[in-house]
Amino acid sequence: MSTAAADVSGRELHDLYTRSKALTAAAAAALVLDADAGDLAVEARRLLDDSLAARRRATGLVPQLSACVDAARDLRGLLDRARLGRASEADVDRARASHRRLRREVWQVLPCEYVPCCAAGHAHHDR
Amino acid sequence: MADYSIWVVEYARVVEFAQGILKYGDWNTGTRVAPYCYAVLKGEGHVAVVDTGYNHVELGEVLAQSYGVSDWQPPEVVLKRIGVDPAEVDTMILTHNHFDHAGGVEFFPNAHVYFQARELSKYMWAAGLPDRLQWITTATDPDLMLWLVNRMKQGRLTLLEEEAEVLPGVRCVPAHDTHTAGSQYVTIENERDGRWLLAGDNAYVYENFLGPDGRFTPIGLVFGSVERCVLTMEDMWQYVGQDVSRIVPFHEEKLWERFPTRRFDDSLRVAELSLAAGEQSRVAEPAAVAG
Repeated sequence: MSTAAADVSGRELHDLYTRSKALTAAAAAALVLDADAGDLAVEARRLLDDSLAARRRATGLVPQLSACVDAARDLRGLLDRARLGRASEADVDRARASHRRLRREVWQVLPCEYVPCCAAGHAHHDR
Repeated sequence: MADYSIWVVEYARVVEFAQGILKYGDWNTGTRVAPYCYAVLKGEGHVAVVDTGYNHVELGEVLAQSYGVSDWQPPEVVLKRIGVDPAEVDTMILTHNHFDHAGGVEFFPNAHVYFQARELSKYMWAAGLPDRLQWITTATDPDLMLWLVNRMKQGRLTLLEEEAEVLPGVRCVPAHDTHTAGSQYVTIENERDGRWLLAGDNAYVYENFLGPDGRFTPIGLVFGSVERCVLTMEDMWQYVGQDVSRIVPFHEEKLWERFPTRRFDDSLRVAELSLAAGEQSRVAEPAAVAG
């Protein structure tokens, strides 16, 4: 894997993860608040397509990009079933599990974004 | 009026927490120990937690390595210290959706959850913003939000939009657009010993209220408005009759000096703020066994 290829995949991974995280949060909020999630379902399908394309092209980060695909697929499934009024607790649990796996995989190669930088002592060159 | 026992249980800590996060303006002044805590209320036939900690198995290793979160223990360990089983907890109040407060929800299988609707709706809005603005959702955990979906399906989630009494004498008070978009704090009116206020992250340390010049200094990590933070602090201050010892910040190391406290073998601590009639102290050292 060339450095250039890894850099490109890393950027794509960051973008896909950010989109996945935001979309997952929005989807969950919409389901709890009983808000219209039609646009979110469209975006989930777009995210799945982009994740599949990135995995096909990737020369590295395959576990992470595969996790992106699984998370997008399960989220799309949840939103599609929710639109039909058929989303079950198992659908939600499946989306949760794949989101968790994605988070775990991403944090293997990218910094954890949960705590603001410098909230605790650390060296920037380690991040 | 009600009568609750109130404990603050430490479940982890950050040994080197930047002071500038804890108190606005303390830039370049180094670090200090910041405990990670949640509160337990017991009384009136209920056991309630205010916040839940986080799930170390899911998040801990990365957080420990990156940010120095150490000494984590699960609720089954820290609650046992006050004689509570997590399965007994029937009420869960989440002050906001950050991993260290709401990341341990699934440890409490039987709790009814109280949460601010705005903490969800605002993040639904934020998710539609471009990536360059996603700092807003930095510490927000989508995992919790999915968990809430199933709690709602089970009829065990109440979304709040205004101040509400959720148990006798226990109220959730909105603190919108402060630390987070849909934060809340919790007040307790105890007949025996008066008012208590669990701050969530609307105050990190007592010093937020006790500036040398008599002025409040807000927390240093604000996703909403600093002005709203200061005005919310004033509401909190007035509620407790300007007695800072009745305000409980969950990241305050001085809690252990201010209240009867027991330190356990794993170095984590429990502070006993209030003891209801008939409830035994959980912080008294066990009596030595006669030889």
